[in-house]
Amino acid sequence: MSDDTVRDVMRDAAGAAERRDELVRVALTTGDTLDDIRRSKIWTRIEDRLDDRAHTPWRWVLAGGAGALAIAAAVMLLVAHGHSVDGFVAPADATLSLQLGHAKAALVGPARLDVLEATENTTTVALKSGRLLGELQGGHGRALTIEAPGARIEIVGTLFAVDVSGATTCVSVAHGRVKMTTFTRVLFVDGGARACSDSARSEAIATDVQRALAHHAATLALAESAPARDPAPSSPPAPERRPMAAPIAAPVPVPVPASLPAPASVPSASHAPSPKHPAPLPGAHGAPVSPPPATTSVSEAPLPPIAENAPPPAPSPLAPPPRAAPVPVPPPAVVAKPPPRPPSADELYRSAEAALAKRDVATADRILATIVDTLPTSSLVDQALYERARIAYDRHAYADAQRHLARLATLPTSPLLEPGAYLGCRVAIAANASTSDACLATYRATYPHSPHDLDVLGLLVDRAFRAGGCTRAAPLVDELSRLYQATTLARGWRERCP
Amino acid sequence: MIAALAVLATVRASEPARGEDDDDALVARHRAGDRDAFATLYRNHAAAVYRRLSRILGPVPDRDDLTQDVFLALHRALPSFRGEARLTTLIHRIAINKACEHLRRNGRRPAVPTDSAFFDELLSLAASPAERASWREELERVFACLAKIKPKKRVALLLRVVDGMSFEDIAVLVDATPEAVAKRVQHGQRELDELFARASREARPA
Repeated sequence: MSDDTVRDVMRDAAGAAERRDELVRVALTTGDTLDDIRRSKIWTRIEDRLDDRAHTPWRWVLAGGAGALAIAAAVMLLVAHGHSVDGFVAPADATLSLQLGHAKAALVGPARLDVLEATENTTTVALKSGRLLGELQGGHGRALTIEAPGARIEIVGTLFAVDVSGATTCVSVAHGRVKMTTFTRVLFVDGGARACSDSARSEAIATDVQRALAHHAATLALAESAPARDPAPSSPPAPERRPMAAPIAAPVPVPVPASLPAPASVPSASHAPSPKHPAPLPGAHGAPVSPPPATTSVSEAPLPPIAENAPPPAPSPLAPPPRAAPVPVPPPAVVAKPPPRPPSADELYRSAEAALAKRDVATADRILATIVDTLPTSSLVDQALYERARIAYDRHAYADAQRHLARLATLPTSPLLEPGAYLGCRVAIAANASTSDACLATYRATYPHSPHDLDVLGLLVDRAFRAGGCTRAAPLVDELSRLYQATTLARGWRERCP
Repeated sequence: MIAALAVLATVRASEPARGEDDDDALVARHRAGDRDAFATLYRNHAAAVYRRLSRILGPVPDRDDLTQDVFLALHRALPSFRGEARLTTLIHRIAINKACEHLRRNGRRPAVPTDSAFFDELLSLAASPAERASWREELERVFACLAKIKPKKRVALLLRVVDGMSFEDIAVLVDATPEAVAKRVQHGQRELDELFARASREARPA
């Protein structure tokens, strides 16, 4: 191999190594700067964690204990049930519509319910707290079992309500019959009656439960009757329904305003009576009926097994005659739709970040304005104001930028006060404001340890040089060289103004 | 001992003059219970820590969390900091340790940036789409190859290549001898060359 060839090979190798190093350098130095917003965000999180550490020295012990308890509870739950559990939680003031097998139910918040088992016909749930309203369409082999504190409730076809309050469970039955097993006995609760796990006595259904049941029945009926009101030409006729709301007694009739429309859900009288769909009882179609005597509605075991779709009890002779008054059923309310939660400042800020990542600056600015205007106490207001100022600065809207920064400066404390002041000086320079130099000098005096100090000093040197050459810039160049001697900026100015 | 002091002096001289006295004063104030002192320390060093992490790990999204971890570790370390080395050295040591932990934790998954902003920033001067695509491929190859180098070697190599640091300076930061660092850099370069060559062969159409 000649000397020239060796030299060429070596030059190629050196060139390849240089290119490799250059590639690595480019790949790893791009995007390595930390902007003010990100710096501020990281500091906020550090502060939070430092505060946590300061305030909860025993947090690891507590966290460990809580973790152990949670694991133990989970293991017990799995051992107890032997299968997975689906849970439903209805928050306060919300109603959750559920389809539990063949039962259409409503979980009235605050409430919690776990589904323990679900097969084609049978469903077992655990009601932990709150109220469950339900209507089970009876059918061969169909059953709904509710495990509740102090009681097990078996339903094969009825309109019912189960209330759990602490360790006590009460079941109210609109019609049909429900089997309730407590620790000491087995009860059969008939239509119009209510029984509780901690009491041997039975009583009439409470007014609020009656209303809730009527409401639930009306809502279900309305949902089912909706397609019937506007049937498609080829659609089959709506299925027949039992008069669910009819037997619900209303001992204290609720006055209904004349403007209240009669619910369309009440089944019409044209339904032919049948064993499965019995004729409406006195009080059907809204006529209030007194509940049967409590003594007849709850009976102790042994009793005959529950007949599927057990017919409602005969009307009490004490019941008042049917009246033509309209049904005192409240209008169906919106079910299972808690009011939509307005987005939090954090969510809004993330949306703004996403918009910025897509270069959709206008949308980002709009979202940031929403944070500032609608959530003025949020901890993200300073970041939103700073971002808005930066956006305005980028599109040369200097007056807007100054306005946002002025508002930022009024905040009592924020890690963005200092970057905001720096941005304010840059805005002043860009807008050719006469106060630019004073702004930079004030900034340096206010924030002597600022990470922007080098940039600010560089700006001051540059402006002094433009105004009066090296003579005017000399003191600042000296300061730059003294403080930041190793930087390219200092070396460059020293060469220009020795 | 003299060699170690000489190395420390070298590191000291290569940094800007501002900050040394400030750091000492801030550490003293922090020890005296001044909460603002640590905030100022953060403000002074956060950008450098972030840069250090970026230059070892690449544009990974975990950099924010790691920066946070570095300063929490610093907060824990300050009470026992005796001031024998500069605070900057301590901070960068912590950052490098965190970066190494991150690399070990994430195995050898390449830190290929997924967001287009990274490439937009990098390739804004490239004229044609074809050029951009070619650059992008090449950069992805760089990240993939770097991911296959062991953390210690990678750190030494990158401190040398990207930051242009001397073996002595690197040795102070990674707690090793300059000879060991030189070996790591040499091996890292060789591995990187082989990986590049292999990747280029695989990328070439048959």
